Amino acid sequence: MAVPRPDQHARASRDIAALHDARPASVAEQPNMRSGTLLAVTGIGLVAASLAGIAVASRGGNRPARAARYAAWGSALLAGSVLADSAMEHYRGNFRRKEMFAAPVVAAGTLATALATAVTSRATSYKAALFGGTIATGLFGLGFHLRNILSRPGGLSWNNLFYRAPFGAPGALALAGLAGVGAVAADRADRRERLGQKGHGRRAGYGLGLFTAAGLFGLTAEVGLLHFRGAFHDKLMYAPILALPFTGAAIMAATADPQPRRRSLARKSLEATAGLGLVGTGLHAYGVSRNMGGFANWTQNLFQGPPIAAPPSLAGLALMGFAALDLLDRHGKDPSHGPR
Amino acid sequence: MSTVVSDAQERIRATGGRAPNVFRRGEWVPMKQYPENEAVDFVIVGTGCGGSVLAAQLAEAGHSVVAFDAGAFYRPLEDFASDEREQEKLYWLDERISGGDHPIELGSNNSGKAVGGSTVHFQMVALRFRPEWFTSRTSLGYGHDWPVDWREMWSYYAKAEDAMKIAGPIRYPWGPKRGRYPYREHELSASALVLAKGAEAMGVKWCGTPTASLSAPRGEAHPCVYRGFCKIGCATNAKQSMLVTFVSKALKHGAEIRDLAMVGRIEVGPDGRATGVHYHREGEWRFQKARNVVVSGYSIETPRLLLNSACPAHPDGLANSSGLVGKNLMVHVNDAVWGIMEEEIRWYKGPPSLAVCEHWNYEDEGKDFDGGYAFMSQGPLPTDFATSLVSNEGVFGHELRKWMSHYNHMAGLKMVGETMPQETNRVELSDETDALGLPIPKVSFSYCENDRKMAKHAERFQGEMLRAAGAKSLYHTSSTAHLMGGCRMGDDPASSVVDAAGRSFDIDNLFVCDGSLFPTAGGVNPSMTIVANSLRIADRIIAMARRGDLH
Amino acid sequence: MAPADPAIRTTPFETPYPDYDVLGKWDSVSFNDATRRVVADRLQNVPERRFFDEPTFALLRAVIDVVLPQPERAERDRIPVEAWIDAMLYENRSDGTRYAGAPGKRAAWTAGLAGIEHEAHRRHEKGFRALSADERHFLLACIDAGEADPAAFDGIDAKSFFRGHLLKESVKIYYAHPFAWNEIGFGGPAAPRGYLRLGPDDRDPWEAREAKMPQKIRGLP
Repeated sequence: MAVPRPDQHARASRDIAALHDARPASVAEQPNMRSGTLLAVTGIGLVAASLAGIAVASRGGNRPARAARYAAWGSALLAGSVLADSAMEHYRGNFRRKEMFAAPVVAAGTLATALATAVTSRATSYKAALFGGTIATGLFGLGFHLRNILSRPGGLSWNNLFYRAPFGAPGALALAGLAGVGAVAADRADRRERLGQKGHGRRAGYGLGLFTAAGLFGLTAEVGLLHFRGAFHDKLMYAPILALPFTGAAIMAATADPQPRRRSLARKSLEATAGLGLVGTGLHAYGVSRNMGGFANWTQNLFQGPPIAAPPSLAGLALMGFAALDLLDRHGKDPSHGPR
Repeated sequence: MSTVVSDAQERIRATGGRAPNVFRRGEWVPMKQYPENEAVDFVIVGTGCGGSVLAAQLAEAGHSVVAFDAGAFYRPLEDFASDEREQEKLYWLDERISGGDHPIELGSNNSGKAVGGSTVHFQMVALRFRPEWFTSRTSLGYGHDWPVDWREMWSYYAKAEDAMKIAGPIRYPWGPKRGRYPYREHELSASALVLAKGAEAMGVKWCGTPTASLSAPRGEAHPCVYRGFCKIGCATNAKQSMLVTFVSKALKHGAEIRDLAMVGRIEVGPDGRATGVHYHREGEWRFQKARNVVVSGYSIETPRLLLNSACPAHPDGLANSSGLVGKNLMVHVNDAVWGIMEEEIRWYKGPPSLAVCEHWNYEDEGKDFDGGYAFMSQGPLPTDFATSLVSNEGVFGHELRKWMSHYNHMAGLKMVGETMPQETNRVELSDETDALGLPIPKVSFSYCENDRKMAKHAERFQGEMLRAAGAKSLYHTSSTAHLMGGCRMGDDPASSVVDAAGRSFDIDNLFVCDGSLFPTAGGVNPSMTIVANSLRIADRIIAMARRGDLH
Repeated sequence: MAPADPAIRTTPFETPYPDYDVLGKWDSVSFNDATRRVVADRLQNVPERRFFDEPTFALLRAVIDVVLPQPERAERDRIPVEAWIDAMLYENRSDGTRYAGAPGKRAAWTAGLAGIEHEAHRRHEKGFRALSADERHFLLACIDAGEADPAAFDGIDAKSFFRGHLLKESVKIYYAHPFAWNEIGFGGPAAPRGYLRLGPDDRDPWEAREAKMPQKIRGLP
């Protein structure tokens, strides 16, 4: 039975003299944003960015190639995941530096651009430039995060790698940009192939495949570090550590020599990775619920528990891989070997 | 005394074939029960680091076990409040007399009264003894050797750490290589970073403290939420106290726990061997028959029970032919240096001691004393901090309130320093009796010259480090923590109370298994050593039973 | 520490956390029912005087007002430290330690308070409560400095009574009160929700905001 707050009028004295002896505002000031406000802003950002992207695209009607659509959806998923994750993590860091706003803002822009890319082929140069900006932001982020890690006593220590700014996280933003660039490239290549200019599709597929594999290996390291921090207390935490590098290797193999058996193996492992992303989201949500206070204590557990926004990036990467495979399926043979 | 929170202290809970489920509010787990008039294999007195470990291991090996505890059987999730005064219920607050030149404060810092013992409110610092300390007389020239090889002890530390899922650093910077801790170290709090910063400024090694608080989920136990009330009982179950580890395990394997049951006397039969224990529960004295009796009441209650069980066959108390029962009581010097930081530390957050420096445990050069000390970052709760402030500084009035308003800017380093075993530091029975008619124990303690030199050394070194970290307005407080010794184990019946298996030299079915066995104190918090030693003793007892070497 | 010169009037205490109210978290996840019961009990059920007689209780209150002065609080908002001291003695609660040769708690408090009154008469020829604020403070400072007349204290050590019983018990009660948590910016109850941001100068939204630096402490560098 709930105990009501006792009826008492007392408070600490409120009339204080002038704020003498105050500390430098830069040190003592902290944003007064509540966790609920943050979630609302993040949610609105996600929705607004999506709507904006679709709104821009709805005037187009020029449907991109299938590979481009895959890559663009992948980019959107990655950007959405980064938007939610960075908004929350940087809020946890009290937005101590102005640069910390960059990640969620750029992720929102990327999300909108990616959705636009998924729906229409227009304005590809602008989109490519925007995605390029996303990649640059991601790379800068890596630098900031590294500096944050090194600034604490212990330097490049396990403790700082576990608990300071996650080194790999900005990489996901760069990947969202790469997937976007890939989408634009895939669309262009597809058009050229249709005009009979052989080789473009293969090259685009090759590039997307390599980036997907690189992303999968990078994500393995990131997930590995964080699941290691969690002492692999649940055996399921090994699943991404095993699945991601396997998928990366499979797509590398398919990219290097796109013979049907390799492509089919890569496709199956990509499907598994995408599925893992969805299952992982559910498992992370369960993880939050089984921490002290569960979802009722969300102001703590959404941040301290397993990040619910992280696993969808697996599905994003998988979509990027599907785009690569789609290109390789159709244009995989080297043109010098003659027509398919 | 019942509180507004629960009646755990008033009504026995482990009864009727069930015991509290410590992981769920209001729920129970089944418990096997044993009749009093049939001898069980083992009666264990106390359920702390010694008793509960033994109960779990012996029950698992198929022995019938009844373990008694004078304290209540709590469900942390519903019985523990975020409140220092309420949580005093976890301390052993029965009156004891403290004397000597430097009388120690008893009750909170060194004894617990609950199923799970003082681990229910311990600070969770999970350190190992330095290998040389097990042969401190031979290798280092002071104290007494332990009757056990350090490698054996270190292998049991690993087992203890795994059983309690200690969250510790991946590479421990002092001593021989040890395996990786089962769980990863916690994030460093601001107060821990003060130690880290100071240590790096001085060029001394430091590391995240191996801590008995979960950094990730484990079974039904939640991971740490960094609420910082660790020292007055964890309401999250992140703390791997005996209550949520070995007591649960003991129940699962068929041991019976009797809460709110104070054992007053061990009965000895005409053959001079123990036959069972007299205990007080639910307002009356009762008797439980046993084939073997294990005393695990810690350094005051264990000697008290042995001495109070004197009988014609053992006029000076049980297991006391050496005259050493109650003698060589040791504490840890717990002096601290405090200072004020420019930045907000807010040391009430997280486990209080998340960074440790064991430099002076492993470094022998530059010391004018024997033994060693570790020190850790600090995070006392308000009344804990205020009491140490006023008793050391005598500050009062507006100045006291101003001082306390620096609470969020304070940082501190506190030592755990090894005192030397001295026969004059001891537990005896006084002439006064308590409410149950049992003689009140009298504790005498005096520092020796070596102890004082160490305290001085630590005061200087900790002060230097705190200053190097940026603290201003430094001041110093003195206190003691932990208890060790009182029933030393050894190889020689003339100079020890029990052997390496905890078995009394005088009575072959009487064992001691707790911190009172320590021949030397070591410069680290004792709990992990007690758990490791208890696991070792359990294995020896089980082996004895298999050989038919037990009653 | 030498007794403070009464001529140096100290500035009154001001909290660095003027807009913090720990009880504002009552309905949040920082409080659980166990804690709510304890804190409600502390706020609503202040024990009645049962151990001391009325004049001694008034003397105790006067002493407490020097040890932990609360001039900024209205009477109904004051933390009544003396009430819980009386309750502790009435219930004869032990804290686990009785120093050899020292009397039990009841005897110590009775003798200690009588000693303070004797000392006031010896120095000023009037009772403690008749002294000015400065005189009261100075008197207690002298006791803490070991300058009290041992005869006045009926065989107990005045300084150990002052620090070991009076100061210690007072702060144990005072700083266990939510109003005291407010004034020092202590996070207060924290279960099931604990804390997220552990670093220096890092604060969760449910923690106290420091509006200014704490006041300087006299005599500290």
